[in-house]
This record gives sequence, C-alpha cells and structure tokens, in this order.
Amino acid sequence: MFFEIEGITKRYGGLVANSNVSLHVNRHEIVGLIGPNGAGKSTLFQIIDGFVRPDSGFIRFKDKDLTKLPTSKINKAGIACTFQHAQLFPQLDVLESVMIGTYCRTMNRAAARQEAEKLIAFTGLQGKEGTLIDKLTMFDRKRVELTAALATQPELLLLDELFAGLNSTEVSEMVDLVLRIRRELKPTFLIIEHVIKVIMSICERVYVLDYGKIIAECKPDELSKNPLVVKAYLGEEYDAS
Amino acid sequence: MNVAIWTTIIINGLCTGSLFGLVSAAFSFQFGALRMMNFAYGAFVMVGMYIMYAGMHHFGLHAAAAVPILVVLYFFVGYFLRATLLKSADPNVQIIITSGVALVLESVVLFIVGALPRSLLAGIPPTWKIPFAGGILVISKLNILTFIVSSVVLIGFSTFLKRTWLGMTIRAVVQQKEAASLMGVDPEKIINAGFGISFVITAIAAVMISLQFVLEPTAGHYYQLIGFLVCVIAGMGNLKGGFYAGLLVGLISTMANIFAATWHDAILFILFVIILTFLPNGVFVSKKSISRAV
Amino acid sequence: MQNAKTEWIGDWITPKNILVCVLIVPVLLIPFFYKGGAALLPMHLVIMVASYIVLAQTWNILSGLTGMFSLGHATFYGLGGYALAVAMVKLKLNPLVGLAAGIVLSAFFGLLLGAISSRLTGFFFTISTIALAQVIRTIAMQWTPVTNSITGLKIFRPIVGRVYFFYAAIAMAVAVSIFFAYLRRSRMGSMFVAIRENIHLARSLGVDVVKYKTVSSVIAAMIASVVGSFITYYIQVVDPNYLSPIISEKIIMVTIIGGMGYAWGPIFGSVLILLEEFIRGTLGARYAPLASTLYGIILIVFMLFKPNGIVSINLKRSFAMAIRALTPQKEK
Repeated sequence: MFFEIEGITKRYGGLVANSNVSLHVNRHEIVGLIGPNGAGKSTLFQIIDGFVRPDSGFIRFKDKDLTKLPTSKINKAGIACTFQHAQLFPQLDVLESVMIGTYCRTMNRAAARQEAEKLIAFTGLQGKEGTLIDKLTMFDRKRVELTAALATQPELLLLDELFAGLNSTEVSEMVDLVLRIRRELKPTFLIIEHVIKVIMSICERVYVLDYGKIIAECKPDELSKNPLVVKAYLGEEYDAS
Repeated sequence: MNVAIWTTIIINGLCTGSLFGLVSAAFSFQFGALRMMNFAYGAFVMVGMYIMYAGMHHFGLHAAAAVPILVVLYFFVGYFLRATLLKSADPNVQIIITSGVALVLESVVLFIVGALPRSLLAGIPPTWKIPFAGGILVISKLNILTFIVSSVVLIGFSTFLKRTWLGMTIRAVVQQKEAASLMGVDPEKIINAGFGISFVITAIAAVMISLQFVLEPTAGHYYQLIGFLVCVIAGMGNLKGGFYAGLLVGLISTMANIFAATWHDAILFILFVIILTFLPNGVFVSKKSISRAV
Repeated sequence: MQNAKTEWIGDWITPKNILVCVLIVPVLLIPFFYKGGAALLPMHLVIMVASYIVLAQTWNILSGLTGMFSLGHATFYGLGGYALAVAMVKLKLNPLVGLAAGIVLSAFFGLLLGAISSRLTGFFFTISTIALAQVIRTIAMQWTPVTNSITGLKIFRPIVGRVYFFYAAIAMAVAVSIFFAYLRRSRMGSMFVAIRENIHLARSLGVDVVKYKTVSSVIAAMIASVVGSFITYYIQVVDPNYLSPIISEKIIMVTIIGGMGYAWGPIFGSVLILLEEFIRGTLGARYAPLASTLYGIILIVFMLFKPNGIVSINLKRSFAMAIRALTPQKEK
C-alpha cells in the first residue's frame, strides 16, 4: 500500500475532530477529501503532517510508520503539503521561498538555486523571482506555495483548499498546472477541496467526511447519487422533502 | 527554631507575597486581558516609588495626599502611553517600545537622583509582639497593612472587571473589536482606559513597595521579573490565581532569604526558567494552539 | 544560468557598499593622523564601536535572522569576560585558555537557550532570556571567591600597544559582518529566516526547527563571548556591569536602529555608541546617564516611524523629496 491511514481518532476536549478515520491512496492517484465546514478535514491533514498527534490510529507511507515522526521528518519521507491561507514567508522573495524547499534535498546553494529556478519556470512564475511574497496576488502565492512544496520532491502532495479564493480563470489555470505536475513529476495527490468543479475534473476517487467520520467513498460522478453525501451537504430538510 | 519563629516567617512571607501578587496584577491584566506587552512596567513601579519619595520628602506632602495624586497621575500616564506610543498590536514592537520607555525612565531617574539607594520611611517599622506557642510572634504592622491593601485592591479590581460597565466593555472589546464598535463604543478609547486602570494598580503597588523596600533606579528590573514569575506560575491574565501565586512566591522568597540570602535572586529566577520551560500550564504555546495557527 | 560563485561576488559590488568602504578608510588611518597620546581616545572609541558591531551582529543572527527575540544577550558577553579573567587571575592560565573556556561556556548556554526555545516562543522565550541573564548576573555578584563580587576582577597583562587592539577590533567587526552577510545568503541563513517568517511552513518544508534554532543561538553565543574576552583583556577589568541589562539593551538598540536582519544594520546603528562618549566628553560624566535617555528616545522614534531601521531609509527617494520640497512650486 502506497499511503494509508487507519483508525485515526482525535478529540479536543469533548469535541471529536476525527473519529476512526481510515483511508488509502494508491500511487499516482488524485484523491479528493470533501465535506462540510468543520468536518475535520484540516485536522486530518495536520495529523498526517505531524502538527497534531492523533489519540489513536496510525499512518503508513510506503510501509513506513509516520505516526510518531516530527513534521520535518515526514517531509523527508516524501510528503509535502500546502496550507489553507497561503501565508508563506512574507518577507522573503519568491526564489528564496522555493529554495527553502529545494534546500531540504541538497546542501549546495548553486544546485538548490538551479533546481528552484527550474521549478519556478515550470509553474509559470518566471520573472517574479525577486518579488517579495507580501506583494504577490493570492493566485501567485498559492502557486509559490505549491512550487515550494514541489521543491522538496514529494511523492505525496497534500493540498489544502488550493483552489479556494481563486476566480474561474485562475481555477482552470491551476487545474492545468496540477495535471501538468502530475504528468511530468508523477506525484500522488490528496486534496481537500470545496470547488466541486475541481473535484469533478481532476479527482479519481473521493472520500466524504462528515462530523469527523468517513461517510462515503466513491467516484466523483457518483457523489450526487449517494444519499448520505447529499444529506451531509444539504441537511435533513432536503432529505425529508 | 521553634514554632513561633516559623509562624512569624510564614506570616511575613505571605504578606510579602501579597505584595508580589499586587505587583503582578497590573502586568497580568495588561498581558492577559489587553494583549499588551509592557516591559516598562517595572520602571513605572520604580518611578512611582520615587514620586512618593519626592512628594513626601521634598514637597512635604502627607502620604494620604501623595497617594491619590500618584494614582490619578498614573491613570493618565497609562492612558496617554497607550494612546500615543503603544498603538501597534505587534508584540515585538510593543516589547521594543516599552523597553525604550524603561531605558528613558531609568536613566532620567539615575540622572536626577543618582544611584544611591534611599528609603522612604526611616527607622524600624512598628511591630506587634504576640506571645504564641511558647515564643513570641513578631509581626510588622506595615506587613499586615500591605496584606490588607493588596487583597482589597485585587478583590476590588476583579469585581470591577466582572461587574461594572467599563470592566465588561474592556473584556468585550479585546475579544471582538468590530462588535464593540457596532455597540457605539470606540474600542481604542476603551483599551486606553483599560491601560490607564492597570497603571492605577501599578501606582498602588509602587506605594506599597516604597513603604517597605529601598528605592534604587534599577529596582524596576527586579519587580518586573517578580511580576513575570508570578504571572507565569498563575497563568497570564488569571488575577485570582495571581494572588495565590504571589503568596507562594513570597513564601519561597522569604525562605530563600533565610537559608541562602545571597542566592535569593538566583534561586527565584532559576525556578522561573524551570517553571516556564517545564510546566505546561504556564506555557501557552500548547500543541493545540499551534494547530490552530496553521 | 550564472555560476553561483561569481553571481554573489557581483551582488556585493553595489554603490552603497563601495561608498561605505571608502568612508571606512580614514578610520583605519586614525593611528597615523594623531600623534602620541592624542590617538588614544579616538582609537578607544573605534574599539568600542567595533565591538558593539560584533555583539550586535551576533544578536542579529539570533533575533534578526532566526526571530528568537532575546533580551539577555549581555550574558554571553559577560561570560566571555569572566572566563578570561578567572582563568588569568584565579587560575594563572594563558589568556587563550580563558578565551576558549569562555567560548565553551557560552556555547553551553547557547545550547540551553536553544533547548528553551524549542518549548517557548515569542514573549515567553523573551522573558526566559531576561531571567537567565539575571541568574548569571546574580552568580557573578555573589560567588565572591571566584568573581570577587561587585568589585570584579582586575587582570594584569603585558603592555600591548592600543593600536593592536584597534586593528584587531576592526578586523573582528569586518570579519563578523562579512560572516553575517555570507550566513544570510547561505543555506543555513535561509533556514533561519524561514523559521522567523513562518515556523509551521518551515517545518512542513522539512526544516528541522529545533536544530537550526539551537545552531543559531550557539553561533551567536560563541562570537559574543569572544568579544567579552577581548574587551576584558583590553580594559583589564571585568565586573557585573558586563552582564547588566543596559548592555543587552544597547546591543538591541544598535541592531534595531540600524536595521534588524541586515548585515549593514549593526554597522549603521553602532555609530550611536559614540553618543555616550560624546556626552561624557562634552558635558562631563555627571551627564552620562542622559545618553541612555537619548538611546531610549531614538529607539522609540525609530520603532514608530522607521521600524526597519536606517537600512530601510531610501536615500534616493529622500533626496528627491528634499529637492521637491526645496524647489519653488508653481501655482496652478
């Protein structure tokens, strides 16, 4: 198994953020993780990424147990992620931000720089290497964050609402970029997403999370046919009518 | 040592401790409720002590007249300090600016009065001598006064925060600025007033300290660290806990003074670093808050 | 793609850098301009300024790059001074042994600071640095058999011309400043800055935060200790004032007013150290505390209006604005 989570449970006081969550991702897949706000998606990502320790359950990546590893070691193992709000490193320029990613794979400054420039060109940010992150638009920031994550040469990329806050042309550009990354760099993706168009166009399999539990696993086009999913998203009234 | 001596030590320790609780209250309130880092706060305690000294010895004021003047003066000092210099919400900026203010206050006091330590009240303070368990309890009247004043001020202050309009508004404003301005309150003015009120507590603490301890231009550093220590043990912003933590620190401090007077400060501050580092209650950067920041 | 090495030497040759280098030359010639005793005071001033440049650069590594805001940096300076003095006076050892002991001791405290920073951040880290500094200061004042309490230790050394100290101090300031600039551009510097800017993202990009925070504080501690030993050897006395919070505040002031996180910051800011000597020289020692008053005021003014320090002042734009203000405006 390439990547699997088994029985992850996390409680905050009385609040259950994740309850016995199990899922798996095959190599080269794009898997979506959807669910209403507060369903526990971001908590699950934080657990995978080592920011939050689960109360129980374990995470395995290429038959290696990641559950107890610190975040930086999880990255070294081959998992990278992007964050919801794309805060990045406000006072650094684009090149150095990406280089912080490449530095994790090489000690050499020149090599790191060369690699970073290659990736910046690949994600279409060329010409903006010297711009401070503070001065960038949201779309560019998201691309920089994605580039920095790619720079660590991940085998599994976790994208947390990468498409949120983008307009429709930007969304389709970003979709193209993700597909191009998949084609050329061949990572595997696990993405949290609200934009249903994106889920439909790129995901091969979708998990639906509600109140911290996985309530469905299906192909994206089956989502609207699944009564549990419809109920989770639209509430009881819809079901009743 | 017999029971009476021990009882004396403990009573005196508790009284000193109540003073520490009072000293920390202003800081705890500034940090916990107003989200302000005030590193000039020890310096203001020190300046307050010197103002008392100047009022009583140079202008011939009676303590009963000097205290209200100091309290009112400090309210406005606090109000305008927040209104002019401390508008930034960035903690590092607040730390740097207040450190600058502390540097100015200390050096001006040093320039005016010199480094020579002074003391407000001359002579040995009056005491009560009570026969107890085969010995005699020696209790300084000043200590008892300190204990009473500290408790009254702290109870009054927390009642003020919980029960009065201004107190409740201060808490509301810090939690949600937008909502407060919808209610027709200028949040900036409320925070300024809150800062002013915390300075009133500082003034009272300065008065009580000046009655018991020597005045030195560098005295502020010490009370500032004591204030931090008490706040860290209690948890920032926890006024009631601050009083108990103050009592505890007072006891430890008195014991340290008896058994290893020269190492008193070192013991206290090593304790401080250890508590800060290893007791998660005092440490607010828990795993949970990290995850929330992500 | 340019070769990385030439690229960064090229980056260094900017008008500003050349201008500052040219301005430094007359300073280097001070021993030749003044004859005899007249050179002593200017040389002393340069030595003090240069040593503050080094101290401020080390604080700049710790706080400016890595974002660990320390208010107890004088600790390392004092440890270096005391290690040298104790080795020479009490143990009758070679000063180099004292220097090395100071470096080792400071490195140990740097490690301790790194360990603390892995558990505490922000304000809590800052107050723990104050408390640690206070502990060390108390030990220096109370451990009389070793430190001689507030009198301090007076060391006796063979007479060395001040001109040697003068050039050594300048060499140290230049070397450490270049080291800082190099560090900022190196892999390690990028890691430090990533931690300062966004610790969570840095972690998720594979930066071992605890390791780099510790490395940063150990580097800063070791270099600051060398300055302490150097000044003690030069002035021939060490006392608890070496550990005073005032020293820490001066170090911070120099860096912040110059520009935190930039190699030029401490160099520009350190000129302010002259202020104290200037006041002492013109108004007399009685007025020396007023220098600290001015430091405080300057610090506040910069924080309010130019929080990024002198480095952030754009000369070209300021000139343009001044010229615009001076030229008479045509009325419309």
